[in-house]
Amino acid sequence: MDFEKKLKIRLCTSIICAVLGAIMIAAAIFTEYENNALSSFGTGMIVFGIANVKKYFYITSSNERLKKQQIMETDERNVAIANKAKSITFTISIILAYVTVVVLSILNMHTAAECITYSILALIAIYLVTYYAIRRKS
Amino acid sequence: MNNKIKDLRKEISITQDELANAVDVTRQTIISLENGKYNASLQLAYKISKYFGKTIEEVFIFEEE
Repeated sequence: MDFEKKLKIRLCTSIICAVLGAIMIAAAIFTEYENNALSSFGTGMIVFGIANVKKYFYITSSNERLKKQQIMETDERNVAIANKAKSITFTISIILAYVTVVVLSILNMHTAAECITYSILALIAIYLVTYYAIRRKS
Repeated sequence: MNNKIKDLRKEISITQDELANAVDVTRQTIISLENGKYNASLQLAYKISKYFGKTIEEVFIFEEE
């Protein structure tokens, strides 16, 4: 995919995030359902959206900056490092989640433990599907 | 994997930054390649070799363990 096209998709995603954030804040303020978490998430999404929109215009304002950004994102060593970091993080997350399930079970918080167990199972299922899909493709 | 990138680069008097820009990678990647801490992919190895006007075998030295 062309790098500029990729950036445009990110711009659209950022705008959608900001709009969704605004909707969440509006829902938190104007509905009977008051929820601090909703307004917090909404604020976060607005900030994320606006920051990324600003970043897009900053990068695309200069050909040199655009090229530099493209190299930073596609540099094979950077990509390899990011992939390795994601892999290690995934493994640690699964272990941490398992430990959390055990602790919650000991504390008799079975509903929370069950939720996290299903999340772990979903993550493992997604991993297996992704693995076989990529293997089949290559 | 050892390589002769540093020597070849100094022969033609270019900086790591200039080489990095020429082969579309970051300067950190060139540094890691020269220090032997990172092994280039086939595509990058070809690009670097082509830039110096050499074959891959002349730039990268593969030693069997």
